[in-house]
Amino acid sequence: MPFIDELLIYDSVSIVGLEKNTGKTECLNYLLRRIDSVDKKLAITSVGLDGERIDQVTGTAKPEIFLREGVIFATSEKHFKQNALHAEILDLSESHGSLGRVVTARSITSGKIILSGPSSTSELKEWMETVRFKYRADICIIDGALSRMSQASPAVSSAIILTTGAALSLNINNLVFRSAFVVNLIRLPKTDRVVPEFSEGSSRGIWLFKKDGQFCEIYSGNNPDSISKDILTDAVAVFVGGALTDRLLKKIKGDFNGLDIELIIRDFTRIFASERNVFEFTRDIGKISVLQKSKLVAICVNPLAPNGARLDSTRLCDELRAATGYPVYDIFKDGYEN
Amino acid sequence: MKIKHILSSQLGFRYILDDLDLASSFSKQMLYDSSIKLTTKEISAGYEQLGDFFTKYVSKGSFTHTIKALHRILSSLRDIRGTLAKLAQGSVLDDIELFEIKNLLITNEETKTILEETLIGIKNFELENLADLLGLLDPEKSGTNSFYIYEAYSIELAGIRSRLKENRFSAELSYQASLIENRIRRELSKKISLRQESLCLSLNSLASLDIIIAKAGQISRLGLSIPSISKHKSSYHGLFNPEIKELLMKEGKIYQKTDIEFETLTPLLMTGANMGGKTLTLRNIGLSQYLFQCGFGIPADSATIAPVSEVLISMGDMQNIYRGLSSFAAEMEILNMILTASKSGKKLLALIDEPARSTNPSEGTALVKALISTLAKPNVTAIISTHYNVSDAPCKRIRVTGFDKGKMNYAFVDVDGASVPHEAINTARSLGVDNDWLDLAEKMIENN
Repeated sequence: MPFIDELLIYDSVSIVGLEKNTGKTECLNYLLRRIDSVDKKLAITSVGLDGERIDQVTGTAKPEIFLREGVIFATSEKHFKQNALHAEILDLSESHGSLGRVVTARSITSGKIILSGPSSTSELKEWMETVRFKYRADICIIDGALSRMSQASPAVSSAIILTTGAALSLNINNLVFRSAFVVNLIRLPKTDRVVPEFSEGSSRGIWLFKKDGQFCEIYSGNNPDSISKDILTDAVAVFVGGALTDRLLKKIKGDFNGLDIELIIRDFTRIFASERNVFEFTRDIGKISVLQKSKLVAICVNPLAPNGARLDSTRLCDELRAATGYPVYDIFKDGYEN
Repeated sequence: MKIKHILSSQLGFRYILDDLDLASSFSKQMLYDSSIKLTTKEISAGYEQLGDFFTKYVSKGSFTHTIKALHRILSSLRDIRGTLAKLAQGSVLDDIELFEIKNLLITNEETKTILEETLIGIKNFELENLADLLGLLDPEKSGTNSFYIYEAYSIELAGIRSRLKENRFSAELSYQASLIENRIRRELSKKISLRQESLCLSLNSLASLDIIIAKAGQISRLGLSIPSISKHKSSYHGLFNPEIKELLMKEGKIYQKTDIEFETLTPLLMTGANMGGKTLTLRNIGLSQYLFQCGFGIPADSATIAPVSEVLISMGDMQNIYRGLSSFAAEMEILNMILTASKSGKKLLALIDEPARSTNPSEGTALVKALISTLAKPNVTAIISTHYNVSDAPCKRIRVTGFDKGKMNYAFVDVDGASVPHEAINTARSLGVDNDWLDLAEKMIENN
């Protein structure tokens, strides 16, 4: 039973897929089966829509989510009424989404369900707090949405399971390279520097740490190009409050050329820059570190592509393990599911 | 007119509503949708209830914990009018709707218990007794607000469910269970529908309790007062603007409150130095009138207010380039509206800031004078500010005290004559405006 024991020490875990059809739902079902058997109170939600039988984009068949009795789950009003299992309604959200309000319920009988919980990060955080403190859930599982990493932010969930596979690329080298890039982002080191509280709340702005310990805002105005070179000579680190984009990364790289500085971001989900730019930055300028570090528990692979092509599972797992240094599992393969 | 219609009145009404600490967003909706009270009877009933609650339970602060507990309970109040309407039509409710009903019942029950235990009595307020319905939706007496079709409703259902646990995928068992569940939903809906009116009353009462608590809390937080009601004469002692008072307080400054009195038939003419607070006073009076007719605390140390049917305001530059209206044309449009309303015979409060200010002084003065005469009617209370010398008009006159030992004194004093203070140059000097220009202007006045 791989990585379940390790997972149990966290109170929340998000499952993040690098592409559709990388086996996120299979991974979720695996967790639901295994965690249930060790007597932990479970709560699950999805930031997208999960458990529907036919993929809304590709039209291919999808695995359904199966719940046992006693699991707390969140879903929209619309899907709650469609769900086949019987459940005790615990809470009804006040805000209306596109699928109605969010129903929080506890399964009375077992059965298949469609999950579609709170979608914004703040609503998700609130939901997790409610189920943890009011309904005493031991562990929250968040099923992520395609290309949405924010729910994997350490500010939301404490652990991550990454799913990748043939749907991302049929070329093993490319698949391993792209997956390893995300893994490297997740394991960016935590910074030793303390970011003063006043900039902590702000989700924007770029700040400078100086040699003498001073901390000041730069590029704050509407004109990011007006920065005097004198300020930069004393710089030891730069803190980016918002998203780290390609453009910003290049700008910082240009301004700090020849200096050895540390670039600090909030957490890995704030990086929206390409592999190449991140790599070049770390080679030319210095290291990138985070305020809040995420814990990657495991990587799961799905060697089957939606078009039917299948990669060599053993080779894929071995290469990905070698490239990342993390445990890699193919939970479809025999051995785990018996 | 409803409260939501006066939100954009530019008088600062939104600030008061945003400051209101309502527990439930449903109460907020109820408040926004409530009509502005027009009769003395309605207004006094509201203040009697609010004033009594405020003095007994809020002003002394001894019920803080109880009120916090009520606030917490009322925060689970939801807008279930849709579900109650379905119930009235005789529809069968689904589990989510039954959950909503149960949630209302629990909120009602918990609120009732707290009010009874702490002996808090609110005038003209009573909560429905719905304990029997709660028993219906909580057959296991768990007291929690969760809901499902409990096994306690049917021994048969309990049997099928336990068999389902061993035989998860039996379609037959699931079907049988769903038949019984539907039957139970039908029976529950029928029983609950007999008390539909009580449920509606309970929902409204709980929202109005939330509103009373929030209004009383605001009175103590913003230093508002409960007004007295009169027929024709309004008087404010220590009138202030809560929003600006708060802003000044943040800067470590003190708001200078003002006293003012006015009545129907005799328009009040306000003169005084620029920056003397005339416009703000008009705004404060307009805001207070709205707050009064919506049953809120009044931003004054004490106030006596006469109800009106309509508040009409002519204030600020209403130039509208999109409608092709100049400042003057836009102002005339509004003044015309005020005059039409005054002829209709309904009780009117007209607040007019510097009418005809953007035209030549000789015609402007005549227009103001004529406006005062036209508005001197038994159904109109008019307050007009001006910089013109308006003589022989049927009005009461007050003036801002003005610069006093280098500082602005915003207090009003009664005056007899028509002459207006000449403090424009002084005021401009205090603002640091170019001296050459102001010296030249002063010289020209002397030469005249």
